[in-house]
Amino acid sequence: MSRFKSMDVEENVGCNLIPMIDIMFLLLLFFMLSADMSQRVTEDIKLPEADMVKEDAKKKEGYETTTVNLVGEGAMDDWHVVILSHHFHDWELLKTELHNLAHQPGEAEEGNAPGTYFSTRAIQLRAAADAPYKHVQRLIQICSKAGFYKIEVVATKPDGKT
Amino acid sequence: MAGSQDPSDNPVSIQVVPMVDIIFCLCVFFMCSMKFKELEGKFESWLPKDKGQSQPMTMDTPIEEIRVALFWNEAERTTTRKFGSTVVKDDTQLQELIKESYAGWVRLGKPQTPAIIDAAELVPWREVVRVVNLAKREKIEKIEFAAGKDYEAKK
Repeated sequence: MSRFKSMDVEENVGCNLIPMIDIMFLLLLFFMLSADMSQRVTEDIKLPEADMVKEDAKKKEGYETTTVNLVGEGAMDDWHVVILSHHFHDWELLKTELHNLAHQPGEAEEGNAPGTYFSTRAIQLRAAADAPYKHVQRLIQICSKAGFYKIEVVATKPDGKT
Repeated sequence: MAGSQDPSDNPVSIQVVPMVDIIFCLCVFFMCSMKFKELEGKFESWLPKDKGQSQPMTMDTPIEEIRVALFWNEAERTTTRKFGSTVVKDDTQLQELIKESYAGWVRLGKPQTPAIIDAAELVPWREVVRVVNLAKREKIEKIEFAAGKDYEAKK
């Protein structure tokens, strides 16, 4: 004898997809927005570490910047420059590119001495930690001759991740 | 977003399963392509606008600088750092030497005295940045790179 009546309940077990779709949409939106499209200007290189670097606050500082990556390996001449995914193995082509970049219309800085030319644009120099100094030095010299004087040396904070 | 599943509300049914498949695929793609970006910062290093030294150096010109020389030892593949004639053992010693030297220039009323980093060609860039970092820790405003070889000189 049973104390409880058996209940003939027809269970309709169905998966409610709507909340799952809602969550999936939110996840998708999160991943899409967090995909940093600006990474295409930066190459995947191991930067030197420095704890005193000024954090790039992503705010306009009154001038445009161009990111110049120095990538490669080894001590000798296997190093080349990458600007906006364009690889420059020839330093002469790089000189032309930087010269054209510095001499775009509206780029000239005003108030300089006659006969001199300086661009308002800054160069963000991302050189790999292992890069021999001579390549960095040469790159700075090329930037200087092209008309750039604002050079920003990029380094990474120790153990810093965002 | 979420709506009722009662078919009487919406006579036109939508097949949600293919959409879920696609959203799953998109989610997996974005999850896999996401990578943590390293926190980057920058040192501002404005080049001189007057293109080198305007006044030629003479024997009487007093040397007002804090110079750190970096040499590359190819045999041991290490960098040797010199402050004056002192071979520096580690970062702490170098920072102490920079600190003492800079404090001396500040006492003389010359806080604009530059720290000059004079590195050999094969010294890794990280070693140069390390010295820049040490100088920045001592709040030296002017940090310069020694001219070195002119790679762009007319051949």
